[in-house]
Amino acid sequence: MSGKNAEPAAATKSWRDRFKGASVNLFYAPALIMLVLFSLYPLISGIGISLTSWDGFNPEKIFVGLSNYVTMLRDANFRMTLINTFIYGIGSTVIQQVLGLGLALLLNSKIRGRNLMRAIIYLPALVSAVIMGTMYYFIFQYDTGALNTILSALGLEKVVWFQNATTALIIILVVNSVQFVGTSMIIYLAGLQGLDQSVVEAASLDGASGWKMFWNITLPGLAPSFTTSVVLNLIGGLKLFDVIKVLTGGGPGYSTNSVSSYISIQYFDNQNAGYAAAMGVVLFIIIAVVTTVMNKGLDKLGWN
Amino acid sequence: MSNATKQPDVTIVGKKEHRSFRWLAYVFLIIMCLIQLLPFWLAICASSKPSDDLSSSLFLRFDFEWSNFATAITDGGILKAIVNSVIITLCSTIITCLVGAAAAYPLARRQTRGNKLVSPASWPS
Repeated sequence: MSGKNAEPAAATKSWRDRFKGASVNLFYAPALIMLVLFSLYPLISGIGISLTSWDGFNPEKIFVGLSNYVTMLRDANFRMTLINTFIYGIGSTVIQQVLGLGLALLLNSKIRGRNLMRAIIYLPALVSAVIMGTMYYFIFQYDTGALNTILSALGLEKVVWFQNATTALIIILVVNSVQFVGTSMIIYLAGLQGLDQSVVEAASLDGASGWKMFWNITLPGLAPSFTTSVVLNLIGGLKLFDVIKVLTGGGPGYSTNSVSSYISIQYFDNQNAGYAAAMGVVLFIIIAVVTTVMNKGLDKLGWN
Repeated sequence: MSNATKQPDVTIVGKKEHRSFRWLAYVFLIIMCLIQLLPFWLAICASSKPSDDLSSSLFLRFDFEWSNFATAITDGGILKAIVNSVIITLCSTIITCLVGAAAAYPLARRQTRGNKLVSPASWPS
């Protein structure tokens, strides 16, 4: 790992020559140690725990092989949370791309107060998702919530927003997308400002305008920003946790849980640490595969 | 969006021909800004009310409940929490910068096979 035996062996090089400057490699020792300690070790011990029937605090762990993974295949709740996870991941990615690109295009043009607007739209992304979720909860409360106040002012019935699984799912999805739409907007703004102005000018001299300009010049120029934004949003959506915990706690029933929040329920409420770890491993693999495929696919299309 | 040839800038609003479009853009942007500001307004409103208040979360209370802030400082320990935040932010920034910069140098300068293995930037992804 330290690169000492890694250089191609050249017959003419002496032992001393070959390792010349290798001590520079020590510079990344701190980073490597931290990575191993805080990322690799938990990952591996998590895989280890997933093969046991540990309850979270018992000093003894009983090895049960792959039975946690078999349980997972039979668990209808896990299937549902997996589907929810993909709804959150794909849904919020789509919403954030559309809204973020729209906002970036509008706020890149000469419009009054655009700096203030950029700041305001990015504002919620600065606050931690738990706090933001609590604040959004004020909107959807039943008797004192902002939305229900508006509804009853208009003479309409008050709505119990988190009673229905579908509505609750959509609310979580929208809240997450709206909170982090600023990050997509910033990425697209940077992409727009990095567009090659000479290409834009050439295209406009050739008579491209409006939609044609947007479709043939602006959008292809934004491809790298698109890839970055999509991959970041996808990861963010697939591991969604805080907003669910704060807004619905996974309810009604288990119906709005993502895999992450279902893991926390299994670990802390049901004391199924082994099962929770197994689901964590599966979630890790899913996120890794999805983002790699996404990155590779966009790469192949030349969108990188 | 028909006569945008004279303007090489990548703008879709900002021309006089598109008054209605410009107007729509402003409406959309202002609505987005209001949506983004709404939770902050609700938090301010909530901070103005005692815990037994049952009025709508959309409005401020006329007699602002300043004691909420005093409670946050005395019982909530908010000052301690702020200090903790500052310490965590400062330390993690310093550690990340130092460790990251130190790790980046050999990875950029010495492209041996072992170093490429360590560097995620060179992984096929």
